[in-house]
Amino acid sequence: MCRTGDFNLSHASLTSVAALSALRTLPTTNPTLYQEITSGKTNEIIDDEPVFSDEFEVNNDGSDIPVDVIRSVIMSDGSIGIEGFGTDESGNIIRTGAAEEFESNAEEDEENVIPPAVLGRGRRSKTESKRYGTDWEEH
Amino acid sequence: MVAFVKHDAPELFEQTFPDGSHFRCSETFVRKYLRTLGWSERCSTRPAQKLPSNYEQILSDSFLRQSCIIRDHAIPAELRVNSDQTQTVYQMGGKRTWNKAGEKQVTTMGMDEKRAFTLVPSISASGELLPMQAIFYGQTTASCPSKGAQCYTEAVDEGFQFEPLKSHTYWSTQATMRSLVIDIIAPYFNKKKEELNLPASQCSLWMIDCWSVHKSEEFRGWMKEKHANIIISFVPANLTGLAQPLDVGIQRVLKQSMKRSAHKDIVDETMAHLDSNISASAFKLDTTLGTLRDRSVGWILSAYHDISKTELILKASIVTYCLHIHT
Repeated sequence: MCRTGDFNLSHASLTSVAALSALRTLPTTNPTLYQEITSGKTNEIIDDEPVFSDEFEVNNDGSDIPVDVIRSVIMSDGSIGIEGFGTDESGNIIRTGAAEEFESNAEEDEENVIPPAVLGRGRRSKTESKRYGTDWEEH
Repeated sequence: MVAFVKHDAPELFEQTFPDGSHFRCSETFVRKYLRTLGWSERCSTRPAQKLPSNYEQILSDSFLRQSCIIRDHAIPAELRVNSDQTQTVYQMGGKRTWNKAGEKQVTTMGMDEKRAFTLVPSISASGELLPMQAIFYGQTTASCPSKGAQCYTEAVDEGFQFEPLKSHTYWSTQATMRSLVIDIIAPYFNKKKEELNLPASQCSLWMIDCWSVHKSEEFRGWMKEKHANIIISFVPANLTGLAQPLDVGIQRVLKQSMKRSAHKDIVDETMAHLDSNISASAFKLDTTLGTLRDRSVGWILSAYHDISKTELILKASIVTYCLHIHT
């Protein structure tokens, strides 16, 4: 009976019933490969890979993109479900919020900007160390 | 720019815009800003990996080969590891440069190989990240980060190996590959076998790409002689972007983490200068090799913690490809 299995490189997939079934039928479905595997030959490697194979990667995410966002994109199969982030035409993750729009009208922005909350007693506000503040950092 | 904003107008980072966003001086913003000043961006292009026309058949054969080895040698997920080299330049962003619009001469900083190091991460199919090997260009251990570098002790405690490349000769690269096996791969497999109560003769599967050093007779012969229980499985050539878990799901996070760490160091250095009230025009970032090399230890360690997530490593194997095989 001909069946189709969906496989990936996870251990569950490599040891699945479907994978074992494919191996069992290998002598008839692909006798050449079966012969190679049973004779202990390693896979045929004619072409050289450059030393840094990840040179081909196309992603070049900006240094402002938190690592958590990249991890989240990988975990969700490439989709960006985080507000304020999107992708550019090359697939790099970028910030999409109005705050990063350079060309927006400055006066209009001033009217629309919500001032930071006043903390502490009365008009006194707490200011963090400029040097060690992490306002811009979301590592 | 982040340092100057933080120093001169920190409130910009605190404002909330109507859509809820906060200004972070993103690279998107910086690019737009520089263009208004008449600068143009040049970016070195990298060719996309060209897939062989029969790539599905190659992937299918590779999958079945691995499946067969795992079945015949009863290899558990803990004993299946993928390793891969990645190059990191000290001054990240070197592939992108800015010039006054119309200028023909384009200089690219930081692309000299001496201003880069090689990192070799390894992950197991059970979701574990092994210690990393870091190779630095130079003749002796003096070319590696100094013992006084920040995070150096922690990195050594985690099992990291810092080595000089010495040269690009064939035997030098053979030597670093062998030390990767001796110092990281084999000890990991041995430790796992003990934990799993498996005999020393238990086979393991090590997935590496088709770099000429990996597939050389010398290296394979040495592996058979010294580490006969480690079976090598080569990632099919030209298919690393589909069939190498490290390339698919891990390197992007690793590189992003190091890029952010390097950027943070620059911001901190600039802030320290601005706080010192010395003229800004007298300021020059410290880009000496020794300084950047020592800083790289912190970047590597931080990246190690950022990718050492079981669910991320397991996901990397799943997102490699989805093959349809008739069984």
